[in-house]
Amino acid sequence: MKPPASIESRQVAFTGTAAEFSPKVQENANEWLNSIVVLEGVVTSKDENGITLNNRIYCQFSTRQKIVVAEQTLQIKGRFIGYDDLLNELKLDQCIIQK
Amino acid sequence: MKKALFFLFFSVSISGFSQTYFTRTGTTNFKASVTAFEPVEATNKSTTVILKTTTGDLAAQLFMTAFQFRVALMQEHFNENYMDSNRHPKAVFRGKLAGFNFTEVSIQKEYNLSGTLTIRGVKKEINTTATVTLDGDKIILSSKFTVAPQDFNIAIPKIVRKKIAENIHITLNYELVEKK
Repeated sequence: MKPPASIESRQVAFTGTAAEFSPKVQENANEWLNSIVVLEGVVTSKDENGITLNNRIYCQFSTRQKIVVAEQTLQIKGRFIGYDDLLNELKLDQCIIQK
Repeated sequence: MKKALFFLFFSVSISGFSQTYFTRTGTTNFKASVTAFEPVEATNKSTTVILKTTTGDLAAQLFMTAFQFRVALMQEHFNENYMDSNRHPKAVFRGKLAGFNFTEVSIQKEYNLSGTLTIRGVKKEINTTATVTLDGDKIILSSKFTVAPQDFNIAIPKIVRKKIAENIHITLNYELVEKK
């Protein structure tokens, strides 16, 4: 009984900036569901479980990450889980800071 | 006059703040296990929840693909065969904590929670109770209720029917912080 694949072992569907990714996903969010993406963006806010890039993309960490400061530019890898219309933002989970 | 204006402004700004509490990472769990078979259960730790503390209005939303199972194949079947997650990526709940009054919640209080749960585009009325606990600057909301696969037109194939419970137990645990 295999556990679900970790994001490290899965193929990356998109690599680029958070600014490029947002409009792409807006066109058809369902097409990107469950895709692994690598995004570079500016940290605009943070909470206990994750960070927001470019005021638009919430990235949830699976484990606590080292301290992230606001306004920092980061590259993160994560899984796109959907467009959250309650908060008007895109959501990733299982995120890892790449650099 | 100046003083009166100041008080007016002050009271308006107080009522203008502290109205919305929320989380992006609430925990929603379901259990559809049958004793003696492989447990059928999964947890979603990415539930978005918004509570209006002035009215008790509650909105919650989760993505089906974010349910984590222990077994990959079970997660795949859940999304592809049962939930049709590509066509219906979300479950949405809109409801109300009856008679919710923020000033009344001292440490812990129970409220009736009712509303509409939409899964796979099918709506079902939910009536349950929820416990609201104040923990420092957080509001912790927890609740549980039961649904059945047929409530949402989910057909369980005969071959696995014995392994999936007729009643699915859903538990919620949401830690809300003030939305600034």
